[in-house]
Amino acid sequence: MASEIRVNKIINRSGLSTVTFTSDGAIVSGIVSATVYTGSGANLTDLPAGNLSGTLPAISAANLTNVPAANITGTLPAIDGSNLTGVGASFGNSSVNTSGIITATAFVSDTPLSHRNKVINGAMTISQRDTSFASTLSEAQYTVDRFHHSIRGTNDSYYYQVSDSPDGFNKSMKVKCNSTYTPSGSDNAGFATTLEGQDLQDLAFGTSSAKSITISFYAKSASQNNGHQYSFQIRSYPSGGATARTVTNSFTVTSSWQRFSFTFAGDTGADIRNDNAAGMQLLWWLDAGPTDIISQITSFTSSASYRAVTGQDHFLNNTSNEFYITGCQLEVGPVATPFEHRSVADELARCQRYYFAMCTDTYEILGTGHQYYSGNIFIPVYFPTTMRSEPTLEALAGGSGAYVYEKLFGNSAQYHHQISQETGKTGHNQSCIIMSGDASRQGQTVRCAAHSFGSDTQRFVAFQAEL
Amino acid sequence: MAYPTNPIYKLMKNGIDVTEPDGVETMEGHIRKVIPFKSDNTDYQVYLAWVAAGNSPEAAD
Repeated sequence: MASEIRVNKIINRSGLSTVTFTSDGAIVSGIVSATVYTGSGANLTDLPAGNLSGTLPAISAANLTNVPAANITGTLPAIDGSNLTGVGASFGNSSVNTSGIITATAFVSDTPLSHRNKVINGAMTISQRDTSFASTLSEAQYTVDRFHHSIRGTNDSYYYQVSDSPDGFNKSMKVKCNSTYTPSGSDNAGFATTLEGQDLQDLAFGTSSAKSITISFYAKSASQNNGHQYSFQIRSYPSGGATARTVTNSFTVTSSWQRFSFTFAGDTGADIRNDNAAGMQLLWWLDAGPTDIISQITSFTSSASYRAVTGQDHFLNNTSNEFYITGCQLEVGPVATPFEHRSVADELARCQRYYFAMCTDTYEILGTGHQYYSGNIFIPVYFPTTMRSEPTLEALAGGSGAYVYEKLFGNSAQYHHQISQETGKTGHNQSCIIMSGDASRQGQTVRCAAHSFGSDTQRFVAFQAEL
Repeated sequence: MAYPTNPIYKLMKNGIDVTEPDGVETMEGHIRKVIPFKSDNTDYQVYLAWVAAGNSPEAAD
């Protein structure tokens, strides 16, 4: 027979703890202990954190929130990161490297994604004047397009456009020591390329926002000068004719192609002139006299001098010394990005702003001229691109009586040994070539052409507006 | 027209209605360089430096 006790409250002997029975349960005022508890713990609340200890069971962490970042340590598992959001700031100044593909709605870069390379013809693909410059060159005489000889003292170096090049390139400029010389004092010998100031204003030099710049290039030596240390110098030209600003660095070539790169902090101390004159010159010194060899200049400093770096070797000490260079790139930012290859057409057009080889072979046409009453023929010439300045005409000239140029009135050919240009009417976009004519033919048009002069490799007519 | 040899530059005033020199010519080997009087032409700047050094060009024809 079942039995039961019906009470609403039980009090222990000391009277300190009770069990009170309500209409829907029991309330214990003391400590509850048992060997086993069964039933749902769903309504357990307000558990003190200190009482949650031991090993967490293998449960889902789906509802974990407010986990402090400092408590997330250790190695991330190889998980799918497809849902990572808001990670931009957390990358800070770190680099992200991947061998996979990165796609995005947009890429926003502090540096240009195209037109990065400030150097024109950095891959040495264009050489309008010739491909061999095997004669004694004068100061600032151009070789491969946009690159010119530089000399104080003696620099008997020959230049060539050659096919020897690192993978991914097909041309380089070769410099060869033609005769030995020991530089003294402020002598220096090398080559340079010069950039217009108006193309460098994005560097923000002369402001607190001046941007760092990085130069990179590929170079190698012959076996004779393997291990030689040479110097690189930048000279920037502030507005108002202030003293040039300069930085330097050194590099050691071997007989194998290497890529070199140097980054220089932007110049907050001086601007760059903002016009079509020289704004910056990049110089490679293969030799220098002792006066010009000093410690590396790591930040832009006012200096009118040409400088090489301590440890400079002497390219002119042996006629077997050779230096090859290609892939020259000057870009904004602290990193040397891959070389920006441009098409030959693009590069040629850029070069023609400074030099336009108009007539490069026998019988090539100068143009159709107009016989003026004075006896001169005026031949209008339009340049393929706007030139940097009103250019100089460079035209082959033979001795008096030489058949260098030809004019055709109908079937009558006549010859001249030289031509000229109408300097007062030369512009950035056009010029007017002058050839002696025949006053009796006034008012007639005439076909004018190159005719012959020595080797066919000679450039008959060119316009130059170099820096 | 005679080649300028010494002095190395010769003034030019060729063209229509040109009464004052507006350029110079010089020879570099077989290359005749005809240089306009334009301030941003670097050949003209070299010529000006040559004149500033105390030299004088040959008169124009």
